[in-house]
Amino acid sequence: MTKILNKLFRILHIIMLPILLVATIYIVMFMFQRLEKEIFGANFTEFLGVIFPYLLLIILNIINMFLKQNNVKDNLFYNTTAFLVMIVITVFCLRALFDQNMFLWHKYGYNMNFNYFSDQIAPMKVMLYGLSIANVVLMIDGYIKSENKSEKNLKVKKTD
Amino acid sequence: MKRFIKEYLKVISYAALGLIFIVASFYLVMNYYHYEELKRPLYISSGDVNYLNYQEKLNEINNNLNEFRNKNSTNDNLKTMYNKLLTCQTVLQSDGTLANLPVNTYFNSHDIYQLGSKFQTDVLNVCWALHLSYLTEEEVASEFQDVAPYVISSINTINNQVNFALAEIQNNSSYFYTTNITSSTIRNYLSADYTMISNAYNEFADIILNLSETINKEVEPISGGNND
Repeated sequence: MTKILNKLFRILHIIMLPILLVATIYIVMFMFQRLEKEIFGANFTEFLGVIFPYLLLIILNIINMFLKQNNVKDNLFYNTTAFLVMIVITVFCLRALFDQNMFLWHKYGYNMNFNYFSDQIAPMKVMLYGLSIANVVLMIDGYIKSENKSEKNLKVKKTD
Repeated sequence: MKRFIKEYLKVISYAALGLIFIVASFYLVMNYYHYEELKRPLYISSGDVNYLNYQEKLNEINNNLNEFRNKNSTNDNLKTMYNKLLTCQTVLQSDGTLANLPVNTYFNSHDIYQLGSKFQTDVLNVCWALHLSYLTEEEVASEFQDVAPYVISSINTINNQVNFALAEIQNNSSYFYTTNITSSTIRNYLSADYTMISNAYNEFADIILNLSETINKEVEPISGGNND
């Protein structure tokens, strides 16, 4: 059961991450357009600040996949938390795009609630950076574990 | 040393994950609560005083205009006014106005805003600006010289009132951390804004009612009346 849940959460969060990156870029693009800011101009660093935590996590996921970081991949707590974070960011994006009960959704004529979304960018960053930090720490932990194992194996071989 | 670092790293990673878990859960619950709260901030029943008054006034306007039509007046000024009032009556009863408010349901800030902007776009811009604003001119027909100052002063008040209510809805409906105080303040403001907008509808209906009574008073019935 734990293995199934672990796999399920891991696959789901890996699939959701790039989709949410695209959704975030879509909303931020209109947000910049409304404020007459150019994405690939003077405000590129601001734009990068929003998408960088996503890119970092995507890179770390790729490393986990190809370098077989089992300490991260098999960690149920990490995968559950990552999935929960993706759910929360999905809620942020969906509410910014579709929740018409918030008056500001109608206010600027874009049919999008930029004020709500920009309020959520900070917690989004905190959660994504937090996941990245936990991922890196778990990778180091796994590396130290594997080193210990190889040392033990060497000692066993020597005593034999 | 390595063992210590190893255990320390585990603590760091689990502490970070725990913290993120808490933050994510908090935002998930907050968003659900906020969404539910925004869905239904204001209940308007069919017994709402402003709503009922407005319906009564529309009936009276309807009766007065029917009465005038039956009198077959030959006065051009009154006939012109009658046609203008007829247009206004249609506007006041059109979709999206207080007359067709789907009562006994919950309304959010956007619904109330729509009610107010409908008043501005249709009632003020069409009925007042296109048809009745000639009452502000100096050479207004003698039949309406008594009622014109009342109409002008009322229109100014109504316009300011609706502008204020709409601006308040815009400023007031943006919030996220729903404490009991912010939530109830926003509901109270929205309720006050609805009252202001529905009062504006009622006051405008009063103007039309007043004018419809004026044209009925001024007209001299043709001998034999309608049955000729």
